[in-house]
Amino acid sequence: MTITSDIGLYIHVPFCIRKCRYCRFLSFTCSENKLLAEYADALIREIRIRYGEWPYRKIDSIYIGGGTPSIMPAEDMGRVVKEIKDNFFVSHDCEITIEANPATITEDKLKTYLDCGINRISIGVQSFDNAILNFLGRVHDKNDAISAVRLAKKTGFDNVNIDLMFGIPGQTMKMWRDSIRQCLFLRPEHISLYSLQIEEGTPFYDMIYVDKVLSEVSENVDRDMFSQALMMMDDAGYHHYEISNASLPGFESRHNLKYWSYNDYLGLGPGASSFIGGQRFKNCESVSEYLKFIKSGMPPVKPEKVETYSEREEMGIFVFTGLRKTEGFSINDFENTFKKDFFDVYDPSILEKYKGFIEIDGLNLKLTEKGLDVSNKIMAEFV
Amino acid sequence: MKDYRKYIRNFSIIAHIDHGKSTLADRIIEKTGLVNKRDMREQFLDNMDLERERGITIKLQTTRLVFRSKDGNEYVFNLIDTPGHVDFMYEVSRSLAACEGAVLVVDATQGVEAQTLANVYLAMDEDLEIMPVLNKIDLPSARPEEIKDEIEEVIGVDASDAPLVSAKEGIGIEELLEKIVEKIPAPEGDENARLKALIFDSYYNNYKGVVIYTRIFDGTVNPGDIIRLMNTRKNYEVTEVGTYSPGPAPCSSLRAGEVGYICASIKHVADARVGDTITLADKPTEEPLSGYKKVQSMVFCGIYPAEGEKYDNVKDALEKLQVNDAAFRFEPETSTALGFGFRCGFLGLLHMEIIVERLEREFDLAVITTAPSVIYKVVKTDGSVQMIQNPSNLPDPMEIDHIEEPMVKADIMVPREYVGSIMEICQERRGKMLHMEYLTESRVNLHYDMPLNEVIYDFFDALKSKTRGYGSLDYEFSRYEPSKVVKLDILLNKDMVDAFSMIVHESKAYSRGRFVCEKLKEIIPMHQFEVPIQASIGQKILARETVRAYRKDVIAKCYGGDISRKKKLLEKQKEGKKRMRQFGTVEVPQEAFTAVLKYDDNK
Repeated sequence: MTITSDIGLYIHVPFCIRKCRYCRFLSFTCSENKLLAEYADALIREIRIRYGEWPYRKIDSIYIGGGTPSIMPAEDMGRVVKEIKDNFFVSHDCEITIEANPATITEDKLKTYLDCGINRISIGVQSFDNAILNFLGRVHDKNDAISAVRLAKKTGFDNVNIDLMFGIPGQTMKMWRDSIRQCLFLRPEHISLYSLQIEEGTPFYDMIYVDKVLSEVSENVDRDMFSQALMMMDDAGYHHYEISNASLPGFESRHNLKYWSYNDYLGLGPGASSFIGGQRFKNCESVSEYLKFIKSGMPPVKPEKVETYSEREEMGIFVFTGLRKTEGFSINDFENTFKKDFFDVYDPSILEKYKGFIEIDGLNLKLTEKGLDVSNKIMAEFV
Repeated sequence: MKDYRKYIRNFSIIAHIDHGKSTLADRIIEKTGLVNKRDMREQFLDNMDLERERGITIKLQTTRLVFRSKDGNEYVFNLIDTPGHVDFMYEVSRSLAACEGAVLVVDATQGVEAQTLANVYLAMDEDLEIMPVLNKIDLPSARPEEIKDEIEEVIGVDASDAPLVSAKEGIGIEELLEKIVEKIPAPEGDENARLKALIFDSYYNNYKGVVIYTRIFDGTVNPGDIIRLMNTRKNYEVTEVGTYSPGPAPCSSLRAGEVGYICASIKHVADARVGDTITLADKPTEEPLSGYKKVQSMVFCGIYPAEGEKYDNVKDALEKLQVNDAAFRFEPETSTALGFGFRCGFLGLLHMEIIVERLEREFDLAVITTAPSVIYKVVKTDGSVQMIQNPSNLPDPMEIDHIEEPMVKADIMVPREYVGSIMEICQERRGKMLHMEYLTESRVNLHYDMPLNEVIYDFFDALKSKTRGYGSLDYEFSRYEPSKVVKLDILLNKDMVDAFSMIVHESKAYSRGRFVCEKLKEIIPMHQFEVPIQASIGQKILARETVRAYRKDVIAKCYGGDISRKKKLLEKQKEGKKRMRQFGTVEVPQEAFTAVLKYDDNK
């Protein structure tokens, strides 16, 4: 996998047909084309506000996430991508990903995406089981998912990701294995695997912890599902390269790796985070406030959302993000970045304490497979 | 004014805990007009927050009051409040030595308790005039006549004209004050003789140095005098003398018969030992005062700085506490599990808890305490004797001929209906009943011979729990006796944690071991590996529990590069770890150390 020092650009589209029952991300229900077109206009203006700040930096990955970016009319999406290319210095081999909900995909839409330069599509399948999909509150069914993946491939996407979710209340190991099997059969280039998090403020949370009509999947089942999936994917030739991601060789997501390799990224749209030029900041979350900022020609960041961390904190971030990659991070890179000896900063006894969970492999520090399961605990040692 | 002493009354109030001593002191202060009712807080003399919260007196306070009697004269009352718990006998005895009389407060609904008796005996040892008072007379369940009989019968003092008061309602306080004038003798002494004064308390003040509370028996002390502390043989120049009323009020001199304070730029509390005699350097008195009961620490435990706490801060705090608490001792020690810390000696378990709580509250320190222990006498095969109060110092079993443990004579006073359950808990704790006497028809005094080890562990909690708080306990050391005690070790993930080691009787090892393992299982969080918890004697494993490993602690999503959220989450997790203590690979929350000592009702 290649890691460059170029910038990754993230575009947030915080709209969905309806909100899923587990979702805590920033998204609002909206499918009115007029409003979505207005939102595209705002993004275009934000691109113009932002582009001048880093004039000599190249962009080699663009990720359009949500929400449901595919809800936006394809032409409007095309305008946004064009605007990026017109303003920023976008490399010729730039990875440009869009997230899509199977229910929103049409052949025309996909063609428009390809025409404007989008070359990777991430399809939010989550499961190939109708009962589970229904339970999650997804707006598509199993057949929508299968045909969406097929259509994407047929239309010309040669880099497709499928999102799958496990550890869902009611999901049996058999259901899970069937979903993976179906997924592998479709042979996407990339698979993202997420263990369901029950987050406060979601209907699932209330069902489990308030009304108690549902119970969370046990840790053991959750981990069994995960290792089962890794095994099946490994047999099919996929490489597990990051905690939640696996791909066919050469198809690791460049954008995803930016987050875990201490690279710069710039986020556009409400609630999007940025880490660029040593600064960390987050756009305001409210859409109306965001629009107000944009209208006045200002970057949509409230001053209190600019976070400055000490060097020690940044080191912690370097380590805990780096450890998400299965190959870990290079201690050399750490030392070059911070001009400090890694083991002057961190007590080597951590390796002893978490023996079997974390290890040095060549020049890299990495979590073992067992370590990945309990990564938070180990990462907490470094913050 | 030659006969100033005629108008002084030095007295203490003694009572069983909860019999309303502090409230009564409040009323007396209020009545003598010292403090406006408006400024009156509950339990005026208990000025530590901890005391007010627990409703008990830890540190004695002394106050000078002025009372205008019906006979037309003004009297100076030096009221010395005393603590009321079995652990603080020494403090009681010190304050009593400074008095001529004691007001004995007895609850008119409950009657004489073990503690009342113990305090009366202390007062009698000091030849004090004992003046009984019946309190809580306003309660419908008050039985004044019966209780008067009980006092005469059990204590042997005339209670026929004992004032009937209600401190809470302010009933009978005036009569009580008149009675004090009438019954408690005025102090004797000669203000022109050589100075002879008693240190009965002291505390450290940041500006004045050590402030000594003193009772002058002979002579006079003035600012500028060079005083000598006879025990430590050190000389100091007096910078200030005065009285507490209740704030410090400097005066020109303290004379024989008076009670007050002396400041003399004394920097180390250890130099002004409670019980020492103050005299003048150039004209010393011949004989120092006698009569202080020597205190002996009965209970020991280790106190260690918690993770992130500085050793020196703990040391400073312990030194400061020692200034105010003559019964508390400490010395440095080390533990493989806990590092550098202190071995501390206490009067009893409550005393220990109070010191620990004060470290936490007044000094804002986080400390870990180890299981309390008594002093064992270890007789080795070569005939030599070693006194051991730290389980870790127990010699190799091969070198031990036998071990002796301290026994106490325990007096337990309970309402008749609880006798059965008390006998049960005493028996469980290897107690042997010596005899039992009916104080009245409904109240029984049980005399037990018991190992101190059992008393300090959880006996008091058990007693209170089984008798709904009506039982009372008093104990004193009697002798050392050979006993089959063993060292019980706790192993976490196969490694022994010395801080959990304790010495227990062979017959208790199994149940104690199991209890500790179960408790630790509840408290130790899941790790990334299984944590076996074992209790052992030497190589023999008595009990085992397992904290299972967790398999998952991962939050996979991290959308849109929002690293800050993830960072905060990890920081929170790390914060939780800080309150943990690391033993090898196992993390133990600090509360584990105290939790394994608590009395379990369901046991």
